[in-house]
Amino acid sequence: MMKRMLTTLVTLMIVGALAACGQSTTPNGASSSTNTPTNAASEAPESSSDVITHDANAKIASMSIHITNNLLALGIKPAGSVVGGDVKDFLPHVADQLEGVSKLGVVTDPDMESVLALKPDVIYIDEVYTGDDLAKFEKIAPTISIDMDNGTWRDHLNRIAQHVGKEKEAEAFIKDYEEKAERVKGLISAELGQDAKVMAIRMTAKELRVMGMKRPVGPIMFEDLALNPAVGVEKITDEPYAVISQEVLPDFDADAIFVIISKGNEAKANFDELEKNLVWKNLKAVKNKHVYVLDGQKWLDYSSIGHSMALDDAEQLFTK
Amino acid sequence: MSGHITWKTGLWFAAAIAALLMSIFLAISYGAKDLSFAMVWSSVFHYDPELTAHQIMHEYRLPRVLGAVVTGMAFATAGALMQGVTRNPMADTGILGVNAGAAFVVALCFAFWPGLSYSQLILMSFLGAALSTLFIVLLGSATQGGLHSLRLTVAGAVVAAILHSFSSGIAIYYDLSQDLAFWYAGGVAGVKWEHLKLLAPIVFIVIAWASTMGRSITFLSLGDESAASLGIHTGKIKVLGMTAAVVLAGASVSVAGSIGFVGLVVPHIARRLIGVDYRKIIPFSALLGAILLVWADFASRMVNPPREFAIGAMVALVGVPFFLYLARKERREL
Repeated sequence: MMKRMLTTLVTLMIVGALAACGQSTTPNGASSSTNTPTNAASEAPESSSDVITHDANAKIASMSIHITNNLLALGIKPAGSVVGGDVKDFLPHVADQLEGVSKLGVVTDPDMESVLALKPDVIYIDEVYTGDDLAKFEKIAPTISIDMDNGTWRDHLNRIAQHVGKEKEAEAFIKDYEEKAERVKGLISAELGQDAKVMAIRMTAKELRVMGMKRPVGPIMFEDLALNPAVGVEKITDEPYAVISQEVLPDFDADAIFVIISKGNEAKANFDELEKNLVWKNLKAVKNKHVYVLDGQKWLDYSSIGHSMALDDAEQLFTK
Repeated sequence: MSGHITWKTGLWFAAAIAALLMSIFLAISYGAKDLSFAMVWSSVFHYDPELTAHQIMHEYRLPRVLGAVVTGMAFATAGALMQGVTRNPMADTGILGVNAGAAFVVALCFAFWPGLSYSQLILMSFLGAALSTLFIVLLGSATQGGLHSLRLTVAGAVVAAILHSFSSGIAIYYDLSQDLAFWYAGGVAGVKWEHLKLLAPIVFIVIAWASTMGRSITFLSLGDESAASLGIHTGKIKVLGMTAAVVLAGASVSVAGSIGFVGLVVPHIARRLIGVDYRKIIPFSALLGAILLVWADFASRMVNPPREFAIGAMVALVGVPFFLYLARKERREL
């Protein structure tokens, strides 16, 4: 009796413990932009869909938030778009430009009914996420599949521009961006000095991340703005970021720290807690008041409009 | 009690204290940042707030390791008290739903009063622990035949399950899952000095007080009739013992979440090592509980650093096989 009770109980408890584990590994609020698979799928063979060109005023269904944002950069408002997987809505920094646009689910779980109901003239999909469902979309409307893991946002913008016949606008956008980057670069180096080493960290509900050299944050920070990565940041090249223990923050020896705080109370509370910490308070960057809290969504959005807005954000932070 | 046994008991206590101190030192020595033993030593005994290594020790490692010590002591002692008072070898604040009650109220606080201070939270946590205990005892007594140890266990398990699902419901509805995962799996990563300042005195005082009840609880564990014939106020001791257990569990849940198994496993180990006298079992369980949690926490952060493993799962991984082994060896009723 005793033994049977024990066995049952222990089984129950193990199940309980496992359930608790499962709960604790709930994916946290990573925005879809940082979840981009790292295995860069090779560009799909140029299919017939590549030559599709259409009227810029056509009814577009965009099945990728990044394609949506690149369309916006060209001054095109799609008729329908997927929403951000994290915020379950249009990304906050472009929400005002997407007023009245139909929501088509999230990229990993598109709402096909809404796509059908929209009766689009043309559909854009991200090869990485939705490539396998190409046939399904083609039944609804001509579909353009773009591998968003391949090439930079400039390539994506140019390619989309070809489809909608707005190559000039794309060119102008990029030129404008480069000029702005140059301007912001000057502002930052005036404030921090030419040789300042910087790092970008992201506080989420569960962990502290150091953003690496890869997209979304690496290219704009260390290429476009030509900032010097802090000690160790240059080694984070396999993943968009590395999870670190707060204990090793001093090892990066950064002159300036850019901070992205994930959405939600917990991430905010974690950062507030970090700010009270003695180790944090004694960091070189903190002592010299070179901590800059970024408007995270803009920086994490690897798209033309996201990056452009990130530069605006930086310009504002360094213009005082 | 012969002199020989006292000598042996003393040796066990000395060994446990030495093991605890060594475990603490080891646990604070290893972490994401490599620090030399000399540095660890000086950071503890010659704290210099200007040194980065000392700051790391003071801000991150000491509070969490001491948190493991204090909560481990509390959960283990609470379990020992529960087992003695209810004469139920399965008793543990986790299984009997005490932790679940505390965690549920804490969940409510997170959802509706997110701005509560720690001292308020600890009070609410007590309240939850006390209410669920009361409810479980009433539920267990309500059936024909009065409060029986098996009935109490079942009532506790049922209430714990209900409260867990309520807590999950609140977590999902109010989008609290991030906060609540912690209360289920438990963890001492978030322990701060301000918590310890409040928690440690409560735990130490209650454990000392509980130890003074050891004699009565030992008699109680022989059965109500025997205890009564020896002049023990069984009702009073039961209530006091339960109260102490509820306070210990409530205080610990408020800072470390619901960490199961410690209270179940540790008293059994203590009993095997030093006998059935609760005057010894209570303080010895406290020491063993502290050692177990220090190691569980250490393991949970060393498995896949810098990510952390759930401490509850760690305790279960270590505790369950050991407990099964004990259960197989221990034929007699506990």
